[in-house]
Amino acid sequence: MLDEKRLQILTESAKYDVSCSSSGSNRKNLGGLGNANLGGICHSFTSDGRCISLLKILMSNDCLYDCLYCVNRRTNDIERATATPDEICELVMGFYKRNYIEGLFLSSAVFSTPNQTMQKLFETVYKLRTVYNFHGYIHLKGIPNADKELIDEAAKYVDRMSFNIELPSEKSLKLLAPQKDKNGIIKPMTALQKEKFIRSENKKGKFIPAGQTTQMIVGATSETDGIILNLTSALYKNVGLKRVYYSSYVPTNFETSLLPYNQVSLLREHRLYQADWLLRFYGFTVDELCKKEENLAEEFDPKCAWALKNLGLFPLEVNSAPVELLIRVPGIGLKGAYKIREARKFTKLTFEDLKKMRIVLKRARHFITCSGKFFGEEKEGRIRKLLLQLEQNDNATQLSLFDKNEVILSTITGEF
Amino acid sequence: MLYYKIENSVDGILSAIFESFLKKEYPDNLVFGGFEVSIFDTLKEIKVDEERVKRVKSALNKYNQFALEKISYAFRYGEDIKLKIIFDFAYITIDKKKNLLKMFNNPIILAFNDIVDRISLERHRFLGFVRFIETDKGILYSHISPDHDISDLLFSHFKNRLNTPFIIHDTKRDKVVLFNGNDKQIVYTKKLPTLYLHENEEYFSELFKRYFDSVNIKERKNTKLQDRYMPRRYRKNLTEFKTKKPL
Repeated sequence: MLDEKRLQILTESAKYDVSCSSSGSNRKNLGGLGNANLGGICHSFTSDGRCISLLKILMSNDCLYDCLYCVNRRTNDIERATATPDEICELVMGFYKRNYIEGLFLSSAVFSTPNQTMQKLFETVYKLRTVYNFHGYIHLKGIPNADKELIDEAAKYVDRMSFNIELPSEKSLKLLAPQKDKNGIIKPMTALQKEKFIRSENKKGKFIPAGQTTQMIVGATSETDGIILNLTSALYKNVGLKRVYYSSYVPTNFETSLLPYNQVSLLREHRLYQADWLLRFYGFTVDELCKKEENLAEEFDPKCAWALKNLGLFPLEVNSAPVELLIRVPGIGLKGAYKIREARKFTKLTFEDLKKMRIVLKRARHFITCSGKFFGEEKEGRIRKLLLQLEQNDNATQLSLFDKNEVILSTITGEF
Repeated sequence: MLYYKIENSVDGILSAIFESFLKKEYPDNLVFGGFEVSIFDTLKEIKVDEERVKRVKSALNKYNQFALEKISYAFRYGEDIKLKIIFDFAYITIDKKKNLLKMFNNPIILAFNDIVDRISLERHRFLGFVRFIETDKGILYSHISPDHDISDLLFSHFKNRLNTPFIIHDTKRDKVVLFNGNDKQIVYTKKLPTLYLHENEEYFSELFKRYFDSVNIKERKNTKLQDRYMPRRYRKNLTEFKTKKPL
C-alpha cells in the first residue's frame, strides 16, 4: 500500500499538468467498478480554484531528463519516490469507490528508457482494467520516443492520452529540454490519431474514445501569442486534438538565466484560453484574432478587440441577425445567442427583453440594435474608453479576472 | 390579497389551477399548513380533487408534453416560493394554449426555468460532492444535505457506477435512498444508523486529504473561485475539508 509520504511526493510533482478533464468518454461499467460520464464530473475544488476530477499522480518522479522548467529535473534537489502498478491500482479503487475521484490521470518521469517507462505505465492501466475490473476514466500520459506498438497497446485501455508539447517551438525545446525533440512528441500524436481513425472505420473496439490533448508552458520562452495560437489551430485541425492547455510559467528553477525569475502574469494565460475558445466554438480564425508576430491585447478580451477593429460590421439587429454573427457580439455568448434565437420566434425583442433574459448588455449595447433602436455610443473613441473601463473594473482584483468570465471558468473546471 | 391555501403537493397546485380558471380569479400567492392572513386578505382553502387534477393534467399535456414532467421536477425546489412559480407556469401554459418554455423574455417562464436549472445544477454537482464511507460489511454510506430534494435523482448514476449496495442519506429531509443490490428503496427516518468502519476507511480518507492538499498550487491561490464552484454550505459533509492527522 502506498504511504502518505510517497503519495504526497508523487502527486505534488504531478500537479503542474493542468488538464483535469474527465469528459468525452461514455465507457460502460462491465460488471466491475466504474463508468465514464460524457460531460465529465468535478469532485472537489482546491483553493487555487481548480477542480479535482482525476487522481493525478506520477508513477515515479525520479527523472533522467533535465528539462530546465520542470520541477522533476534530474539536477533539482527534491525527494524522489516511485509507486508500483498495484499500489496505484489499489489507490484508484479505494478513492473511486468513495466517490473522491472520477478516475486516474497517470503520468511519469522518464526513470529508465522511454520504452521501459511506457511499459510500466501500460502495465498499470492494463492491470487496472483487467485484474481490478475498473471501468472509470483513465487519462494516460504518453512518453515521447516510446515505440508505437507500446503506445497503441496502451491506447486500447484508456480513455484519453496526451503528449505534452511543453514549449511552443522547437528552438525553445532544444534550449530548455535538450533530451526532448519535436518529433518525439508530434509524431506519436499524429500516429495515434491515424490509428484511432483506422480502428473506428473497422469498428475494432475502444481506442482513446476521449481523444488526445496537450499542454504548453506560456511565458517561459519568447514565442508570441500569434505563434502559439497558430500552433494550437494546427493541432486542432491537423492532429485532431480535443483540447490544448496553456500553463503560465511558475518558477521552479532559479539557477538558470534562461528562464524568467518571476511568475508570468495569469492574464496572458487567460487571454489565450479566451482566444482558444473563440477558435473552437465561435468560428473565429487565428488571423482574425492575432497576427503571427503579435500578442493578444491585454486591455480587452480577444472578442472585444476583434469587434473594435471591425466596427463597420456593426450594429447587428438582434431580431434578424443570424446566430453565427450574434455570437461575435462582445458580451453575447453561445447561450445568449441561443436564447435570443428562440425568444424572437415568439415576439420582437426589445432592449428590456434582453435585460430580462440576463444578456449582459454593458458591452453588447454598442454593437446591436433592438427593433431598430440603438442604445450604444456612436463614436469609436467613446466606445473604446467605456469598454476599457469595464475591463479594468472586471480585472480590478486578480480574482474576478476568473469569475466574471464564463470562458475561463469552463476551461478550468474541465467540464468540456 | 387573495391567498390559496393548498395541499403542499403537485396535485395541490393543479387543483388550485382549476379553481382559478373556474372562478376567473388569480391568487396573489399560494400557501399551505397553518398560514394566517391579516383581516384585509382573503384566504381560500382548496382541497385536492382528483377529477379536477386529471382535467388540468390533460390540458397541460395537450399544450406541452413535457410540462408535467418539468413541474414534478420543479417541485423538488427547496423553497416554498416554488408553489407560486409552478402555478404561474401551469396557468400561462393552459391560458395561452402553447408550449412557452423557450419564451425566454417572459418573467413567468424565466422564473420557472430558473428553479428547474438550479435543481439540475445541484444534482450535477452532487454527482461529484457525495462522499461514501465504507462500512465493515462493505456497504457504502453517504450523508448529504442538498438545498433541493435531489437524493433519489442520484440513484441510477451510482447504481450503474458502483454496482454494490449503497446508501445516500439526505439528513435535511430525513430521506434515505438505498440500493440493496437489486433495486431502489426510499425510506423516511429520523434515526441515524450506527456504522462500523471498514479497516481501510481511515487509510483512504487520510490519503485523500493529503492529496487534496498536495495537488493545490499555492502560487495561484483563488479562494473566490473555489467558493463559487463549491459553496461553503456543501463542505461540512466532505472528507477533504475535515481536519487531517499530522504525518
